[in-house]
Amino acid sequence: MNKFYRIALLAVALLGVSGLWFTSKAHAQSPYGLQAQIDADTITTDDTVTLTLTLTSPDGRAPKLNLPALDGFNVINTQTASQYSIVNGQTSTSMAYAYELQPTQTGDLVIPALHLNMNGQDLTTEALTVHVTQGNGTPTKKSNLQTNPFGGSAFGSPFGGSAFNSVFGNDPFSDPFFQDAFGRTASLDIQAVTNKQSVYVGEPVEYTVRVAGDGTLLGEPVYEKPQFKGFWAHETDSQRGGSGAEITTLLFPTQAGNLTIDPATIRTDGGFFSEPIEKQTESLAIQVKPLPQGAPAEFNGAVGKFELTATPDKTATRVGEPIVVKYQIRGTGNFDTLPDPKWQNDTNWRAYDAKAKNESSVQFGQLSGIKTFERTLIPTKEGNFTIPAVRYAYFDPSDAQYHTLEAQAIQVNVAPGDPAQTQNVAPATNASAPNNAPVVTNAPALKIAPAQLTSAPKPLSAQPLFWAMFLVPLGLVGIDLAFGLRKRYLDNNAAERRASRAYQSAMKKVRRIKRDDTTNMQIARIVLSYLEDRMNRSLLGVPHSSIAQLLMAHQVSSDAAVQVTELLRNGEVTEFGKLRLVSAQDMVTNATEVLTRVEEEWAE
Amino acid sequence: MKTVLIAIAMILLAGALVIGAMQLTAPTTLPNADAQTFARANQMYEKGQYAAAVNLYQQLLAQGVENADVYYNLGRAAQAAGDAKLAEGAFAQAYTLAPRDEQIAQAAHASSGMIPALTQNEIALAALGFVALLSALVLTMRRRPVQAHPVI
Repeated sequence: MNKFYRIALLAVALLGVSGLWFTSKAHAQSPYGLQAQIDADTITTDDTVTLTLTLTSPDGRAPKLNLPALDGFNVINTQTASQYSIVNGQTSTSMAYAYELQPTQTGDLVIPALHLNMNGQDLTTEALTVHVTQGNGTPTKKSNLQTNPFGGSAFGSPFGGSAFNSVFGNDPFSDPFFQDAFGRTASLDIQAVTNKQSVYVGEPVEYTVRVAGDGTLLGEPVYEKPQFKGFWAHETDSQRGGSGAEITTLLFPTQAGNLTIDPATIRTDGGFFSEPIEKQTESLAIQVKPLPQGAPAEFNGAVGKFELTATPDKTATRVGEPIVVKYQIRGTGNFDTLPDPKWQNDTNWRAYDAKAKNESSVQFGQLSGIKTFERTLIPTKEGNFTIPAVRYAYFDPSDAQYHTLEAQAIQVNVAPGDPAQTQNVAPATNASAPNNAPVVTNAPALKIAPAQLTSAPKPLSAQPLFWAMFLVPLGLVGIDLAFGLRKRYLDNNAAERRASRAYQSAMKKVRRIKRDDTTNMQIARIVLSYLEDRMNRSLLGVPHSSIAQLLMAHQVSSDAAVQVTELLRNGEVTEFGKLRLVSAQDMVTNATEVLTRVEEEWAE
Repeated sequence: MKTVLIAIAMILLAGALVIGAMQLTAPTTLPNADAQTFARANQMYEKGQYAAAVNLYQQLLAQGVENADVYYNLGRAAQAAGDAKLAEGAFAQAYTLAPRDEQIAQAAHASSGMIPALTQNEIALAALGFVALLSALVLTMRRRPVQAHPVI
């Protein structure tokens, strides 16, 4: 029993495993799929029905589908979208082709089965029947074609449904992006489109670059925008969705003619498993028409649609007290380069133009904004005056007409002012030169000229005196170190120190000696002391003859040695015999001579 | 006591040297004509006559004027006239002279969040002060009384 049970269990397991294998095999053998769906099976002749063909492909390849002619229907609109997914490591791409069909007759209209051969596999849809009744002129249903064929933004299109549809309002099957994107196994694609191909100078063109990746790209793709020669470019925020992005630039042509937008480029560096990729869009041609003749005198180049308002901060003032009039131009157009109004001058005022403030943003493919000019007017006379109306002309491409706006004139009452208080009144902020000269409105502020200009001297590093200052502390340290070294040397060589100082010391003593009865004796002692220092030994009790020999041993000549002994003897005679063989002066002279001679002849 | 006196003397000497060197950095006041030239150059700029403004600023500099404001305004005028290279050089020179001037630092693209930059002269003065104080320390330490080690 147990054995039978085990065999049965093994058989069931084998069956299960083989079943799974066959199932997966069968699934693997059918990687392609084609489905047809309609959004309604009963409509009136006033309605449309949307036929959606969904083609599933494992490798992203998808052919360009040509819908055969359908009896009883006209194709009035088409759309396409794609979805890329990875499930359990298996990639697949779904392409949805949506056709808006309008019935041309009543009755049961049949959409026949459609056939498609994909890599040798025949794919077939089911035939679908639409029951069409006579309408009364009012559609009973709305077309679904404006929404994503896959049903909402979760579809996974790189750009999301709405952005996609708004841009691809034309026939998607002739769209090079999709032919390119699905004609090969590209994992990164780029396409550029413009919303207009013919515009006036200054009229905005929306240039959109769409980038689609397959989600397996490593790193952030690098986008290189074109140079936009002949256009003023206003960047807008890029939009991202799924694995794609949409970069929109508003272009304002600055010259007439056939302009070309150069290709945009996208590249990735690649990674360990992937090669670097670089893709370019095609060049796009834009025909730019010149502005028509007949521009009003106030026209200064503004293109778009604008409104103009003027608001004074007060209508009553005194001579010398400023009035600030705020002029605002609002609307749509190139606010980056919007020209200033042509201001009118008046001798009753000194006018200062402040810098213009510009606030703009892109809305619905248009650059909308407000440009504000604050004019500071300082009345120079009393009385009732009128700040003249400001006129502003622009060209509106939507009706190809010039329009002239007018901000209302402003009545101002100017009372007499206090000359002492009003002499030097100047606008508070940003205002610059009086308006009798062109005013720089967008140039950065300069440094104000001072009453007295100063000049910095040469840098310290270029002044010799500065470097000389370093010598003071460094010199002190150097001198101190030198003395220290000498002291240490002398401490370590006391005998030498004594010998080196012997002559100077002796001579000093000789020069200072007093002339009296003991002079000769003192001279003898000084000379003896000198010899002791020189020889670094005591000579007490040493006979004069021995001293002479010692001197001669140090290369001192015999004459000098004799002079020394004689001098010593004279000293002893004076000391012990109380006699003076030579005078004190002669003794001093002899001592000086002897000491100098011995010092010169002395050799170690 | 002797050591302390030497230390004080050396510190005073260091201070005197730095103050003396600071006198070498004092700016000189220029004749009124130069200030007027500067003002005229500013007016040229305000009127949009950038090339003329550049010429006037350069005249001042050619006369030996070393002034951060002149360099800065020259940079602005050159920028407006489309001479980016001249503007860059002028801003760099202005920044060398006045690195803590925000307007100049911004123009020279210097980051403002860093430690306040020093001028060349300030760095030179700091170096002189450092050397003087170091010398004082060396001289003081060399005269420090030697402590007799107790014999156990």
